[in-house]
Amino acid sequence: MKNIVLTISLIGILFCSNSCTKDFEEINKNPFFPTQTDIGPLFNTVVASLRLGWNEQFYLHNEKLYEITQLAAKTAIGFDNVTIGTEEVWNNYYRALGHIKEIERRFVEMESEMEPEALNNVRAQLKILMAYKTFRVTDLFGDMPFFDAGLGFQDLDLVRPKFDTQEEIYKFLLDELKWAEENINPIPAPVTASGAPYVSLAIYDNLFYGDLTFWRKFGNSLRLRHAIRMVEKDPSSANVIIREILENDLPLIEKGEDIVMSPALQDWRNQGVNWTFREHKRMRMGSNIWHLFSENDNKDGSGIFDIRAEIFFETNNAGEWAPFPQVPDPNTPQSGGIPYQQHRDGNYTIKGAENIYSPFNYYLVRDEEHIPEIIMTAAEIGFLKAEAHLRGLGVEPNSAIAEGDYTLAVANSVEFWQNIVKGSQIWVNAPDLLSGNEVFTVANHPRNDIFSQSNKLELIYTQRFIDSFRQPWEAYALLRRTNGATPHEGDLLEHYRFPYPPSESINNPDNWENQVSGMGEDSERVKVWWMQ
Amino acid sequence: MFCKTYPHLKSIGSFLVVLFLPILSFTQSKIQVTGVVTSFDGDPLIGVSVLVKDAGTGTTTDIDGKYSIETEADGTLIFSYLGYVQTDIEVQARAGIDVIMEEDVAQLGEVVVTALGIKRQKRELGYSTESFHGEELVLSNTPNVVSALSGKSAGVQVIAGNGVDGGTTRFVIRGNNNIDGKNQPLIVVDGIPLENEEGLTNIGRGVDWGSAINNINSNDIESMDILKGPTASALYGSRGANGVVLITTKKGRQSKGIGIEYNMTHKIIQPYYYRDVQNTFGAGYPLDLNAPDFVTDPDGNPVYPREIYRTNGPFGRPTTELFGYYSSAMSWGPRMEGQMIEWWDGEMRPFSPQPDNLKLFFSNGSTTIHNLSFSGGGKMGTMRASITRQEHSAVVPNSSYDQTTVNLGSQLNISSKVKANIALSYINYHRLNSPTLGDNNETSFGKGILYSWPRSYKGLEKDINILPDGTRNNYQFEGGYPFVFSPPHLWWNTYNNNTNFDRNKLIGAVSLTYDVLPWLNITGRVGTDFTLNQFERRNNPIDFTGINGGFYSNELGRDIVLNNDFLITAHKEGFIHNQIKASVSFGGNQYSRDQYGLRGSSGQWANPWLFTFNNFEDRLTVGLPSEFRFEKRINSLYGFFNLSYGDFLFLETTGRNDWSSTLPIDNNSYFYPSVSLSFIPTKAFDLSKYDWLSFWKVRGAFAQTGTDAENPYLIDFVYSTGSFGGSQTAALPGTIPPIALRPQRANSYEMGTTIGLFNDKINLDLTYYYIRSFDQILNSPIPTSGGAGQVRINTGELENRGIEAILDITLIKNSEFYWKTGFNFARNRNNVISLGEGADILEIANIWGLNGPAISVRAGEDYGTIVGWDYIYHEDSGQPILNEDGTHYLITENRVPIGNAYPDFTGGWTMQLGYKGFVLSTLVDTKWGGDLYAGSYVIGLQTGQSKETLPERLGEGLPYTHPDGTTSNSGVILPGVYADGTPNDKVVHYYFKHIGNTGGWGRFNSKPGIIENTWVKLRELSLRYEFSDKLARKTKIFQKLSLNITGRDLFYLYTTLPDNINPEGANGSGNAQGLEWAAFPGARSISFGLNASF
Repeated sequence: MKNIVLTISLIGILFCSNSCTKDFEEINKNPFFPTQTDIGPLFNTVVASLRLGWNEQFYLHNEKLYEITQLAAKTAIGFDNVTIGTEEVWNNYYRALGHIKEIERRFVEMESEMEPEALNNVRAQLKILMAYKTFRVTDLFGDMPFFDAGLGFQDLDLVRPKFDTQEEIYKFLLDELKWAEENINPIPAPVTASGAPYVSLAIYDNLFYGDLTFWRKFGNSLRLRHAIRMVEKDPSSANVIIREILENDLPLIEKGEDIVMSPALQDWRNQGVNWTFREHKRMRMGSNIWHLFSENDNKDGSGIFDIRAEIFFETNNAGEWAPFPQVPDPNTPQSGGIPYQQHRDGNYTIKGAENIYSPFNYYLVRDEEHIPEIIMTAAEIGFLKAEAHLRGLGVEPNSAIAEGDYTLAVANSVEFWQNIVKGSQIWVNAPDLLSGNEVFTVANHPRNDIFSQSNKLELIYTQRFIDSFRQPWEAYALLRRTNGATPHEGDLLEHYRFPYPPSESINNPDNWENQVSGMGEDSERVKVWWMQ
Repeated sequence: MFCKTYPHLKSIGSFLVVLFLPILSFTQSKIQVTGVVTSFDGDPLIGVSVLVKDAGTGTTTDIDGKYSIETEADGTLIFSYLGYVQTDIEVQARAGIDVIMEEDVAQLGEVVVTALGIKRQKRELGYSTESFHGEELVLSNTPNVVSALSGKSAGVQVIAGNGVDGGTTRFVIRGNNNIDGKNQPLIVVDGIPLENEEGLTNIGRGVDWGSAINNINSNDIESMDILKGPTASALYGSRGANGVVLITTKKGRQSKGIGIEYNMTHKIIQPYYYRDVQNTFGAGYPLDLNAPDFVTDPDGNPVYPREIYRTNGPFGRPTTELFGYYSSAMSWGPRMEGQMIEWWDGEMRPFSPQPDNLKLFFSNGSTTIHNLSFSGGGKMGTMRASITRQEHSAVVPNSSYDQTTVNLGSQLNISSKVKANIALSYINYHRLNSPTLGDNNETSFGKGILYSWPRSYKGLEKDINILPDGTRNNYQFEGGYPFVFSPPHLWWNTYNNNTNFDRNKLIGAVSLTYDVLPWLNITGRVGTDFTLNQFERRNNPIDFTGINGGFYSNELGRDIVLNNDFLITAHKEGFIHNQIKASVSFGGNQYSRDQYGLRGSSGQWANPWLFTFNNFEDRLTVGLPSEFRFEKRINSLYGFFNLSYGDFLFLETTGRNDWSSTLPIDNNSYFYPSVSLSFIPTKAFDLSKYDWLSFWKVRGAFAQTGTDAENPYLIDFVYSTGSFGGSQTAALPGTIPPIALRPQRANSYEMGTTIGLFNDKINLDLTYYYIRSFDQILNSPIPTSGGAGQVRINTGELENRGIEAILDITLIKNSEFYWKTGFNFARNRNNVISLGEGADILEIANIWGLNGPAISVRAGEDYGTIVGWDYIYHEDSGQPILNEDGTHYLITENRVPIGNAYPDFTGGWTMQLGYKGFVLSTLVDTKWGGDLYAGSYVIGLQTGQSKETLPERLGEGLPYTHPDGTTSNSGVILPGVYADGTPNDKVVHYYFKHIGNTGGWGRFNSKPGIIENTWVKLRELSLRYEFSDKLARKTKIFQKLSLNITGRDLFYLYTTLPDNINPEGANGSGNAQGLEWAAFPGARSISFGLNASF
């Protein structure tokens, strides 16, 4: 019997040593998601991440940036929980950066199987995307983890990356954009020197749908934007870039080529924008921007000379144009009402009796399908060129060229915003839009006419400021770069950057502490590198 | 193939082996001894084991408690019976020996069920266990059998969270061993592990449908044994790492009469512990700093306050700026004096106190249980069949559940060498609706009561939510519906949005034991825990069209768990030495779980009153069906070796190797051992001179357990896919997947002693343990700048160290009366040693994301740190700093630690008095220490519902001049200092005392909500009367008859929480404990029971 026991035991042991794990790999195979993917879907994820987050809009834009820049007025104290917004921006960026670096890793792998040149276009597209996303975030926070960041999937030693200086990041990205300009091949179906076809993102390029010409323009436009952004701090480096672009007439975004994220074309719904205003409730037109649009304070709007006033804002519940004072005194009545609630889809005129100041135009923040989110406009390029020519940044000063650029840019801006109205399917109370060359009437209005005024740079900044109405982060950058030369009333707030989100200090404590000790404090009072 | 599917055998243990061992006889003079074994009460005991010492022969008592056995004239008989003290009697040539067995107060001689269902004498064990009889569970009549352990078992923390009967009970043995995984023990029913998924772990919000333990019928339970810690549960492998609760169901027994038993209990559940609120001031908002008053309509009628915020409030500033986004429950309005005002629906009604409006949603509930069982036995074995019907009506409207349980248990002697053990339970459970707990959804009355409805709320909607034509009342009155922070259609939704949950469950096990040789047996067992769950949601249309608002969804899930075991056991007495007994066992187990679920829903309806997936107007409005899968397998081989010497030294060693499918193929095999030793000096040495010392045991144990990844599919690198711009997106996972995951480990050390004094009238059991859990499989937090939010690695370390003490005392015991009492005490420190390199904090739960407090674990602290916004304290004085106006406290920029929920200790005190057939029992239990974020308390302050907000309003404050020039004694100076350290001396309006400085959602000061949550509760008081058998049988109907009445959760003797905040109302049954918000009132119950045997 002892033999029986031993035999049974032995069988059991032998069996389990061989087949106790039979089928385990199959059993534990994830049934929900694929384990393989290509660079195309990964790239599409990065493009999709260009959309603004709900909390970024709520806690950064509406709570802070409109107020700081005076693009609008926050008529009551807000939720004051800015970290919800900064966390979202941070997470969105670094999640995307992880994808970018994964695609870069795959490029290296792919190089071993093909001519490196075949990857030029996709490399350039990725570099341009990375530059855009990175510039946005470093402009908000300053120094940040970058070179070692987003690499946790590839190297567990890098899950807590060090911080890099904004200067290093800027210069690296500008070099990357230069590489893109020099290597991008915009012809249809390009081939390498040996005749091999270029790798293409094909259907996964949902920003320019495979048109490399636009990618090239986007890349150069970004170079111009950010070279000028750092020109006060490092003019020699910046001027080289500006000169290269302007003197060589490198392709830039032109009229009608504005870069946007379009819900209608990209098959998504921008539900966040209405939520942001519906929940926040207290955003109104401020006197600062009102005075850029109207010759006087007539409540009937008779002083309005810029149609964008009626695109950006609307009248209060009483049908009057009523800005909230940018510098309110304690007796300033506060604003209430319900101008952003969705009942206005059916009852447009009901804004609430307490809505005594002009709100944002309901349709601008309601149309989830046709109002785009803006990345770059042709108007902005015009203003950047105008500034460069006026100030002689990288090129010889030339006021005439600057004036022309400015005038065209204002017209482009007006046309752009009018097209927004035209593109909306629900905008039923639109103002009478300007047609044809009527758009130049805004630029030619005596208040805006650059030809007749001496404060030309101020006009350029003002119009760039207006054009960035739905890009308050850009207005914020302009304000800081120009040291407060954007339109404002009263004193500007000492707000130059956002503190890092708490999760970074909690989960990356050593690097965060190193960074903050170098900065002195992690506060909004610390200037980012490119500020004067 | 053998390991994969087939017969696996198991021993019934050395106890039964001994029982049936062939007689190893040697010739001496033998006599036949007969007698009757009775209890202290004179009732015959059936099935008492009668063994001839050192002979290996034995028998059991029959239906009349009689036995007959052949023994040497100078031999010794050993009488043992579950729950009674083992009695050794020298025969001394007597032919008749009647025995009265003494109930085992401390259960030192008790036979307990240990790992793998093996019965052993408790005295032998080198680790701590506790046993409970099924009758105790029935008497407690708790919503589930685990709740009955509250306060009764040292080291077992039972937490009844927010909710109603039928919800999830959290219970943990000796603290958390997993930083972020499950920490509840394994429940094993007749050898079959029960999948006991927690119903609601989210602390913020949700509906709690309860867990599977709720379905276990206490009437069918013979005993429940708790194996504490990894030592005792080493043989259950991964899933037993948190301890094991062994439930053994009844298998029938011989009995007099026709063998039918009927049990009935009826329980009335009464919500009683409502928040203590003021009933003086009604609705009103801090719109200005003048005395509260009504606005008037054009006719001069005062109007119910409906303006919640004002943009030009006090000091011309918005009220939101001064007081934040408070709710519509604000009760800072005029005094309620019965004055007639125009209500929000236009009717004139008195503005009068509503002292009962917190009770609007609640009423008494009830549970009725009928249990009918048939039991019998004979030479072929025993069998019991029972059917139980339970019907429950909840304390909230339109919510109920019922359950029918059919149970079959049998022990069959198929032949002299083959025995079968059968246990089958079929459960049919149906539940109609379960209330929303915590926060916001369309049926969240908890939120309405706390956050939306002021003290003047009359609950008009209860009667007018449906219009005469059957459509929903949308409350479209001039001026609008005022209670904006709660869905206006709660009452409609409560009755018209119905979810029916149906569960069909089969728990079954069949085992065969073959006594191959007198010293060898083989057991095989197959078992299953098979469950079908279905959730069907039907929202009725809200108007006459029968279309609008209609919604339908259905979710069907099946869960098949199979357990196959075998066990070979060899036993030898006189191994090497005649004082040595040895047994060795070798076994295997295969566990597999296969779970799948599907869910679909209708869209915007096209057809009236059709509850089907096909009812949609537009295909795009129909959500895509979703599915759920879970597949896992663990194969195991194990062995154990027991050695004893002279009945006073016991050694047990175990070893187990698991192969788990959830681990990488290179690391999925892991071995873990245990060893335990117990020594009984009172048996080993002659200590008779210490006649007060009747029993003494010392014990020690070490065990290691290995645990696999709890869930499958964690090791692959997968991409989540979606769509953007008409083409696919692929995203990297949010957690960096592991490269070489390996099993996590826990080393457990335990030492203890058991002392019996004065003939076991006083029994003390002390245990000290230390558990170190390391290599935790953890989603360790990393900065998102690393590319993901977490990395899944083996890291993290937890420590549990604690003491448990159990003291049982028999104060008086004579033929008619006894008085016994017992105490238990447990203190555990659950320290987080590490969360992984570079990680110090892991948030495990929050209420409102970054807009409220949260629970985190932090390296170096006890498990369960509560974080939130705190005061900023002055460096020198330690006083909180105020702004220059003296109106607001400054608070920290970010959330910081403000409390810890881990208790200092838990304990219980029981007392039992018996007089003839009467037994009076009490249970008092306590949780001492540990903080709670009492969200209901701070909302009570913020909204002016709390009585604490009254004094200034009643003129007991400081002189204050209102903006309109009037004066009153309503001012207050907020305690604290200015930034320069100067004490605050500014008298401000009483609003600032609470409104702007407390609150919930948003960036509010969280610290006022942190309160030590200590309580002492009269948990149970019961009176039972059992007719004597003689008296019962005189009826010619009954064999036994007893009646009982039990009060449960009766009241708190002591609590540190103010305002009657429910001390046991914390949200969620997950690891995150310590946040309360909008808890339901505490409820008590009274049960009436009848037990009759025919």
